[in-house]
Amino acid sequence: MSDVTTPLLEIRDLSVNFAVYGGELRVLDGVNLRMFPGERIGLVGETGCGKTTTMKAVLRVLPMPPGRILRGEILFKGRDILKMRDSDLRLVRGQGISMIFQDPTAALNPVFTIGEQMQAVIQSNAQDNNLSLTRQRSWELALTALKDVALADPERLLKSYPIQLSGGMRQRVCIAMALSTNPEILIADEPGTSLDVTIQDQILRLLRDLVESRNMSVILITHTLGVVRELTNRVYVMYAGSIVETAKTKKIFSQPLHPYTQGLIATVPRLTGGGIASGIPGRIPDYRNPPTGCRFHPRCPHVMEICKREKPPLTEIDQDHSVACFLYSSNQKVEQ
Amino acid sequence: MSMLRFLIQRALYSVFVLLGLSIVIFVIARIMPGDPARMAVGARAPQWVVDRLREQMHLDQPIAIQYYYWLRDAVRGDFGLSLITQRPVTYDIKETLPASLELALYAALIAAVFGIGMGILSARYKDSWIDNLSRLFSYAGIVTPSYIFAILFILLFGFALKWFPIIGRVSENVPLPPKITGLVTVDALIQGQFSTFVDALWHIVLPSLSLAMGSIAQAARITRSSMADNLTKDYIANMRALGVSERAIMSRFLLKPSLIPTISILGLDIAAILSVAFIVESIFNWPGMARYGMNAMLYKDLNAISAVILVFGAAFAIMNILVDLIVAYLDPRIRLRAAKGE
Repeated sequence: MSDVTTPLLEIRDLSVNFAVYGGELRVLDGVNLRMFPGERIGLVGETGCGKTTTMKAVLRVLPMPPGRILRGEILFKGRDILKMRDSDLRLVRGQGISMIFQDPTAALNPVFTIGEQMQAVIQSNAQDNNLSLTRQRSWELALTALKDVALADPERLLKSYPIQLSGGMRQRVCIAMALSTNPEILIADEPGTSLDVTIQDQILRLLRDLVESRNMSVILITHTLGVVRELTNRVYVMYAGSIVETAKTKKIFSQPLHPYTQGLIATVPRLTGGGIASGIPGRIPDYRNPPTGCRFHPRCPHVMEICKREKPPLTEIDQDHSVACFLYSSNQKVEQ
Repeated sequence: MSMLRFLIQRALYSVFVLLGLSIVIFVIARIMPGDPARMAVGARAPQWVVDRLREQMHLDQPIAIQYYYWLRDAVRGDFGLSLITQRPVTYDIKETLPASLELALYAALIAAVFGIGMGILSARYKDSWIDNLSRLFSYAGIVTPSYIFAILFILLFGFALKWFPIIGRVSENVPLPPKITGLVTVDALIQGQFSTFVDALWHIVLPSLSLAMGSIAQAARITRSSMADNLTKDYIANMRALGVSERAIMSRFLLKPSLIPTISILGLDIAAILSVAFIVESIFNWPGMARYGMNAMLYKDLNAISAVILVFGAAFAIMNILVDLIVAYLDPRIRLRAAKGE
């Protein structure tokens, strides 16, 4: 798609509830996100703010029930994924959008070899394009995919079960699997979080190199701002089930507008500053009974009366910079 | 190599289990009230006959000594004479065990096919009428003893509908095939006696189905719940997200991990089928070992009781090893752990 004005992926007002014993969790409350071809988006926010839920909804792999989509659209190249027939959905999954799951151990089937799982992915996607691959060919493609993520001895790996691999190797296998479909969009859900810091660093470098060499569009879910700064060119900040701010990565760091973003940025340790900041007081709200109006208002240092009553819409304040906060509404362009 | 070690290890465990079982059986059999020697010769026999028999059976010795004699002979495959049939117990068991095994084999087959099949359907169409019906059946099947099903089936399919015969292994006018395995259906096939095979198959339907009902229910319930449970796992979401077809996921990537708990339970259930067949075999007049064992108990035929229970124990032990092997085959985590010798 050469037309840069058409978003590759657009999420509009996505709202999702989860049924739990004795009530409903209102997990996503009108998520809006737009991605253009070639963009590398960082989706940031505290643990539990709905990042993974949003991305699982994009691929329609949320468990339903207990999950329930209340409203919203997820447009991939202009077509609503949520309304797609299975045959069309299969063309999106894998080769359109693929995903690296957060926990590589949970994401690999324990009773099948790596090879069996990778071949299934490769063969299914070939079938979607009316190609039929021989076992030999899909085996070779799986080998190549493993070599691409710098795994040694791929022949042996393909014959191994997940339990025989280290955490870092499993993560690489998951990356290889996700990339083996040649996706247009790659969703990476906190890659490497479950690993120790040095391995995590290797994984992120690997991911960056792969993404750059293939010129893929990427959505990187993370709560590590350093990673965002290094790997992405646009940031979406999420809080308690909605997007509260989005801008180019540089802009977010230099001129954060939403009080939550400001707090988030302030927690990043600086070499020149005076150590680690205190963070944002309070915690993410109870989804059973979320605060009225702006869900951030109980924690917000600039809270106003209107914030308790109404939910601020995501509004474009500056070019390519939108924020959902009443501090910036009613024409008063507040410099930070 | 590692698998062999695993096997030997399990076999050794089983030997200890059986040894323990033999002590329990032996002690229980000996402390039951009533004098086995007196029962063997009848109430009218003179006292000196009883005394001589007591001596022959070592019943006048301390119980530990009695156990020693019994175990020494048992290891040689000699469980003594049956007091009722007046034949070696080993001979009686050789005569009756194949009939029970055949019954258990068919019951196992029925339980596996229908139980797992029902579980898959139930999970696939979760919360639909199919699922509700199968769950209702499961609860009923688990709480109802097999002999109730046996009587119900006889009344319904035997008397009312007359679809199936209700007594014995073959019809009266059908000659039994020469004994090779002792399983009538198998022997008939080997001999090419197709009509005998069909007749025997027809006879085995009701008793094996009665015995299988509980296991069908159990297998269906466990398959359903483990499939439903695994369906929410990330590895399934991952496969879906990467575009693997729903059919491949259901029939392969979901089924295999979900069958592991079912097979563990089913294996033990099948071993149990042998021993719960006591009443069912009697109801269908099935010349199996369970019926033989029940008669032995009614007449306090000590040698036969001990042997029968020990054979059931051995069946449990063997089934356990078999289940371990199948599960190890399905689940690399167990296989690899076993290989490491943990």
